[in-house]
Parts: sequence; C-alpha cells; structure tokens
Amino acid sequence: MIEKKVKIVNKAGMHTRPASAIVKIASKYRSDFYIVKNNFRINGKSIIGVMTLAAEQGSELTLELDGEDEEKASAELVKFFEDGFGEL
Amino acid sequence: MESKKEKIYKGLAASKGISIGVPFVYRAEVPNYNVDISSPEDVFPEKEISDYESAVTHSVKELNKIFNLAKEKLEEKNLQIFEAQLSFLSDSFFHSKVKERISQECKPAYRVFKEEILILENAIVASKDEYIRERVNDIEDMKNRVLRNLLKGRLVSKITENSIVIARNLTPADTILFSNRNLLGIATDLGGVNSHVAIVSRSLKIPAVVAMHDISVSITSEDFLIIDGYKGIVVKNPTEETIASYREQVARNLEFENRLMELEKLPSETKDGKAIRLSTNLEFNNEVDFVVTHFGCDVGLYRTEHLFMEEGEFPSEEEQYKQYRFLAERLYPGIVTIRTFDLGGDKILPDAQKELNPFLGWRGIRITLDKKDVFLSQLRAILRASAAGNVKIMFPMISGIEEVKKTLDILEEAKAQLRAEEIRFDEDMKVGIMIEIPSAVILADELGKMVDYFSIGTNDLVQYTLAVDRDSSLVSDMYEKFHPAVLRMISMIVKSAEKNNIPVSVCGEMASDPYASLLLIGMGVSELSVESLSYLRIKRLIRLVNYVNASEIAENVLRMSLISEVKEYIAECFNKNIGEKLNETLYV
Repeated sequence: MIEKKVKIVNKAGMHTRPASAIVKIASKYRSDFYIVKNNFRINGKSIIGVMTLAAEQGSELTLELDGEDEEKASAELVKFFEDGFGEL
Repeated sequence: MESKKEKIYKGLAASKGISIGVPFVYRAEVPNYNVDISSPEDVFPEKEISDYESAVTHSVKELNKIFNLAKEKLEEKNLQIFEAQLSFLSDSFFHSKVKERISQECKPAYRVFKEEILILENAIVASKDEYIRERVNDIEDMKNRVLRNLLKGRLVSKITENSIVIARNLTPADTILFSNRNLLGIATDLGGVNSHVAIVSRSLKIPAVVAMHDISVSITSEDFLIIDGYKGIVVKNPTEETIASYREQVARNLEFENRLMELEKLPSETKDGKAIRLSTNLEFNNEVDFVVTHFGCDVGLYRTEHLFMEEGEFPSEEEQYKQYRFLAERLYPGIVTIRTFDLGGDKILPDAQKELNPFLGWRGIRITLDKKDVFLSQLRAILRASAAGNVKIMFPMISGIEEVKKTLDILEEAKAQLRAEEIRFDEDMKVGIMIEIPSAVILADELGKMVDYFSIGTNDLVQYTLAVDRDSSLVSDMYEKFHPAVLRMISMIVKSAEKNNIPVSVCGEMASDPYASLLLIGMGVSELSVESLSYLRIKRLIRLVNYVNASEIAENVLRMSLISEVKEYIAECFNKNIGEKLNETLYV
C-alpha cells in the first residue's frame, strides 16, 4: 500500500469538476483508492464521496492506494493534485 | 359564479416576449418526505433495494433525456451542470452504501437515501469556502429526482400543449423539458433576472417573468393569462380589450421586426444628417458572425468576465490573446472595445471574502489593481491583439484620479515589456474609462485629460446615483433611469467630454431604450452601444429624428425636476412633436 500526502493548491478547491476528474483517473486503475482528510476516509472512486470532503484551497489530504498498479495510479493522481487540477 | 376580474401581478422581466394562453400550474412534485410511510416491520429490504435500483435507473434515463434535449438547445457551457448531475447519479459506490444500509438497518429506501444525501449536504455546507459551499445546489436535482421516483411521483413533463407554466420555481431541467411541449411562457414566484430559469428561457426565447412572489398560488387552471416579458407582469383574466391590445402588439411587433431588416445596410444618422455611431455590446463568440453579417458595426463593449466565469480561474495571457485576436480579426475593419475584467458585485471570485455590500466592495478595477499579475496578463493580451489597429481598451468602475494613474502606469509597464520582447502592438491604442460612479462624474473634467474617451455605464450609474439596488424587490421600483439626477449626471459627463474634446459613448441598458436614447442623442452622446436585439430598433429611431429637435427635447428635460414630468413629456414628444412613426420604435 502507498500513502501520499497532497495539498489542494487551486483557488476554487476540489469542486465538482476536479472531483469528477479525480474519479475518472482513479477508475482507470485496479488499485483501491481512498482519500483521507482530518481522519475522514472516503472511497476516491466515488464522486459523491469526493464531494463530501468539501476540500477547499489549502486542505491537506492523504491519498491511499492499494493494488497491483498502485505505483502508476499514485503517480498520476499526485501529479493531478500538484497541478492544481489544471486550474493554476 | 363570480365573474372573473382582470388583475395585474408585478414581477421582474426575465425573458422578452408576450404570451397569451391558459396556465399550467406546476407544483414541484416533491412528495412529503416527512411522513413516515412505513414502520420497520413493514419494510422488506429486498423490495426496497429493487425499488431503489429502479428509481435510480429511471432517474438516469430521465436526466439523459433532458441532457440530450439540452444539447440541442443550449450552448456548451450551460451543459456542464447536467453532466455533473449525471455523474452523481452514476456513482455506484454511493448506491452500494445506500443498499447496504437498507438491508442492515431495515429502513425504507427513501429514508436511507435522504440521510445519505443529508450527510453530503452537511459536509459541503460546513466548508469554510463560499464557492465549495455553493456546490450544494449541484446535488439538488439528484436528490429530488431520485426521491420523486422512489415515491412514485410522476414527472409532470406532460404539460398541456401551448400553455403558460406557473411555478414556485423551476430547475434548468424542468425548463428544458417543458420547452419540448410548446411552452408559451413562464412565470415563477422565485428567481432573479440572472437565475437559471431566466437564462435558460432567454436562450430558448420563451417569454418569462420571475420574482412574482406568490403567483403560483394565485392562479388556477381555470384562469386565462397574459405574460408580458417586457414589463415583467402577468395579467390574470384580462378583459377582451386587454387581450385585443396585446394581440395587436404581437402582430405589430412581428410586422415591425420584418420591416426593420430593411435598415441593416442604411447609415446610422439623424434626419438632419448628424452621424451617431451605433455599435453593439458583445459577450459570446457565437454572436460575432451575426453582428458582422447583419450589422457590420463596431463592438462598443466586449465584456471579458465570461472568460473567467467559464473557467472559474483567470484565463492565461495566451488564451485571452487567442480570443481577443479572433474578435479583432473577425470585426476588422470594425473596432472592438475590450473592457478589462469587471468582476465582483454579483460575479463573485472564488477567493473573494463574502461582503455585506458587494456592489460597494471589491469589484472592477479594484480587483485588477490588486491582482497586478492578472491585470498585466490581460493588458498584454489586449495590446497584442491591437496590432492591426482596431482595438480600444476600457477600464470599469473608475472612482478617482489615482486609479486612472495607477492603471495607466500598469498599461505602460505592459507596453514596455512588449517592446522589450519585440512584440507588435498598436502604440496609439485608444484608452477609455467607464463613467458609472458619481465621483467620476464630478471629476470628469480632470479624468477627461487623462484618457481618449468616456463610456457611460448607465446601469451602475443609476444604481450608484440613486443608492438603489435594483435586485432588491423592496426598492427596485425606485431604480429609475429617467430620474432628473441621473439625466443631469449624464449631461455633466457629456459636457466634460466636450470640454476635453473626447468622444463619449453609452453602453448601458439606457442606450437600448428608445425614450432614453432620444435624450442621449439630444444631450450630445456620440456613440450608442446597444444589445444586438435592439440594434435595428435604435437605428430606426436615429434615422427618424432631427438632431435639432432632440437637443431641444433634452434641454427641456434637463430643466424638469419630477420623474413623472420627464416621462410624460417624452411620451408626448413621441406621440406628437416628432411624428407618429417614432412610436413604432417602442413596439416590443
């Protein structure tokens, strides 16, 4: 299992559009994907779960990936977070 | 039976047009969720789960149908909300959780679903961030749709053909669905001129009035209605005379619109030969072709806010350059006046603090001066697009001399950067400011020395002069462009412009109003920039008046002290002094 810490850097935060993009990326991989924010853990392949985090700019999250392709999946997801969901 | 009396209800005009017909009173068929329809012993989890599954399947089907309809009728950017709603409905993890809880807790599906949605809503509204909090509206459709299907509420898309829909409120999805049933018009209790229902009905060209307070309970299916989407009123059970006069208006409008087409290629000048520059306001690219082909005119106001609104972020210099250059090329040799970001007020930035008085807060030039990087990239993009010499720049919300100094300094900085990078731009690009704050009117003599032209934003000028928020239903009656103070303000601006020998244009709603534009011409305004819908109507007006008469009328009006006096006098002028034909320009 891999754990990566990420931060929300774009201004608008993890709103509807990035949330749906995260789910789309995660769903390409077989690994299980969870996001943890302040001890709140949700399934990262569920858009409603991701929306529940209501993560605004500056929020710190932990991405948990577990499965055969966890390395590749975490690399792509971490990059998407670091790029501010392409909204920088 | 009591005879039906004509009664008029007032609201806000949301989408122009007139419709006459029978109402279809649409009660949002949200079932009463609070009634506990079953106690645990009555619950059969397998049945609840299969009901839930079919409710979801049904909801997806409905929304897909709406989405497909919307694709035909709406622009790309208005579709995103439907896409998001579909993705919520397709969240299999969420559905698994609901189903799991149904079987474990032996609760009816609608209750578990409602609780799960509530958890989501609570999480979202707990956010510190205003923009994230507003996302709660995005899940409203999913919630109502699934609940309704669960409780077997039927979707009332089968409205009576050719009827006027009366409702408490309508979602974008409702509006789209109804539009497929030859909907004649819409009147809702809630909503503002920029609410979803208003925007969607305008793009569907369906007459609509909103903010009608309690129209949905005042109308029954036995009534007969007229929706006047120009005045923002609903006439219940109109008399034969009222109906006849509205029918006449509809016929007249149609005939008038046809005759207006003949004016497309004729010059915009008064009867006695004074040229009035007539241009259009523009916001979206898809209007450009129409403007170029039919009017061949300049764009007197290109609003750039939508570039921001679509992305939710400031667009890059390259993105902006691409957009501005497209416009400049398409309009050439016509001129495009690009206004820098006029955000704030009702167009809120995600990182803006919530202000008690957003219209007196962080907006327009105040934002761009605070965000110098953003400003520089916009200025560079506009300058680069100006290379062919047909671009003007304009700055919104100017309140004083310092702001103009700072703004011009940054503009110089952008120019210096481009020179150093050897990027071409128009060294003589004309620079103008919006005059829309009373302090700028008072300082107009001095401001006129600093810039190449003025453009009067009448909407804000009226609001700031009269201290009236026209979106507030309590005082919106007081929002009055024919207020003597407003008219005298405008005259002061024109005089200052004349003193400085610079042109002055009007780009607010006033320019599109025949009564008001007659006064503006008379006061000496040299350019009117109007919404494209009003372009030919105003051209007709310009061609029908003598400048000499218009000046006299304006002079007389400027001496008046009552709103009513002004209005009666202009109406009289339209009727008698200048000839009957002028009245045609009022046909709507």
